[in-house]
Amino acid sequence: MARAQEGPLLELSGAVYRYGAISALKGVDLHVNRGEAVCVIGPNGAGKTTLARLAGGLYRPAGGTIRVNGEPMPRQPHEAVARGIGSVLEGRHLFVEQTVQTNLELGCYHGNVPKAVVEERLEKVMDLFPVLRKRASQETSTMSGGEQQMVAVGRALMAEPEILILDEPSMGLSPKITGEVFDALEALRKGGLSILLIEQNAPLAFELADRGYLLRQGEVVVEGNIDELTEDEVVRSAYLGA
Amino acid sequence: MRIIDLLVSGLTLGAIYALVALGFHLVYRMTGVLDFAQGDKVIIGGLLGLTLVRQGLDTILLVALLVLIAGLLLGIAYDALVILPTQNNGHIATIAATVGIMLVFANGGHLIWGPDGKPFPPVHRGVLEIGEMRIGYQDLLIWVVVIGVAIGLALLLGRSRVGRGMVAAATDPLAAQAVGINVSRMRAIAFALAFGLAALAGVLVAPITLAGGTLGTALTLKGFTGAVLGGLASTRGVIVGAVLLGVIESELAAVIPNSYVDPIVLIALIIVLLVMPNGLFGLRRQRLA
Repeated sequence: MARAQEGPLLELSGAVYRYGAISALKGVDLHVNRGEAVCVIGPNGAGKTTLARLAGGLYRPAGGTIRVNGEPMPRQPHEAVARGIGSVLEGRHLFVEQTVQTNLELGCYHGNVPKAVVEERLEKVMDLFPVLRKRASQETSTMSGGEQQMVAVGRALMAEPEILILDEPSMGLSPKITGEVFDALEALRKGGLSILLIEQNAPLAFELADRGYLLRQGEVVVEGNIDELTEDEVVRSAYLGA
Repeated sequence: MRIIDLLVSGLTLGAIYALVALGFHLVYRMTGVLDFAQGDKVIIGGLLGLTLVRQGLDTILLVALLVLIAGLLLGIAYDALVILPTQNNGHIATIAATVGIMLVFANGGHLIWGPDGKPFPPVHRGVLEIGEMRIGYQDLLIWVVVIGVAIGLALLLGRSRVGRGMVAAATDPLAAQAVGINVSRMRAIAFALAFGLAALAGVLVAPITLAGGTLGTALTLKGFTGAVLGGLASTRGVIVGAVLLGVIESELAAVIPNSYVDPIVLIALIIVLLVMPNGLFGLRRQRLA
């Protein structure tokens, strides 16, 4: 378990990422404090998913630094989870042809967690998303998009992360199911979990977050608390329909 | 030759193909790669075993164990030197590299040990007689090993933590990394097991096929054919497909000239695949490059 330290829980400084000759991120500064929910909004192609994967330790930056609890992000992608990072990937990325329970159990693969503790964590996830209790033995590929998203969030929670990074969790979901997922996220936030939410749906993101960033063409163009963002002309015209 | 004797020799032939096919299956399921060096790994295993025998080691089971360990280590090196450097260029590049290594193994074996097959002692020379049926103990051993490997693979992939990690890494590498699975290590384990299995098979089949020689490419083709016939992504499928192939070949060879057997078998395979593209036991989803 990562040690709590002074300063941000997660901090990107001048983060750069390139796909060949194309710069996806051009020096992004972003941080998430302990217990804080932070959102990143922006149009398609802004670099949001790349940012989520850098912040989750799954990609290595071409420049800049990423620190978790004041320490450099591990070099190996699979080591990030041991540093308290839980990633919910865009498109859910479940282990298809595996049951809900197996997907959730794989969520605590990294720590060789004792069976009794795995059971406890399963109970917590199923309390958060009761529908998964009934679906435990069902293959995830046969479930609805909303239920799959719940499994994806639940799988990340099984590692008991300090920060949850969610990439477009509302994508493709009905408003009702989106509401259920975000109610669960709100409960987690109130429970002290730090959240970095990457989301195109700005009004939805602003309901959950304390602060936010607007990303465009790989750069942060606006940042501030939610009140400041909702007053910002660029954000208002492009994302809040004002 | 009586049908029952043909069946016994066909089952053994099929079991040999199955050992190669299981290697194809393991690597394919765990990495999505078709490894065409699989048959020549069997030949290398036989030749390593022969070297140990020539050094005076006459307990063949101990030879098999040492060759298995050598195969596991060679598999890790194979992953690091052949698979890892090519994987970022797509599966086609990796498959091409395995074809290249197939030639390196075949010709390297000829350079070091000579081009001809060499006699290799069996674990047991006796024959089991059940009524009028006569089964060599070496044949029985190969059957038992195939069944044991199949059960072992099923337990490994279905029940063990490492196996679950391997399946998860094969299904979705990015998601696997997100939950803390070391995808590179899982791939290395898959290649180590495949090489170890092939090397072990080399020691077991050498008393029947001779050690070394030019059989590697034929074993690759027959193992691959059997695996595709049964369903490359299904453990049960590759065994059934390979054994079926061995039995059919054996029975056909008794009634038609040998040179007609392979074309007939391969035409039958094409017909099966036209009707059942994923093979006899194909899974719903197969990973292809």
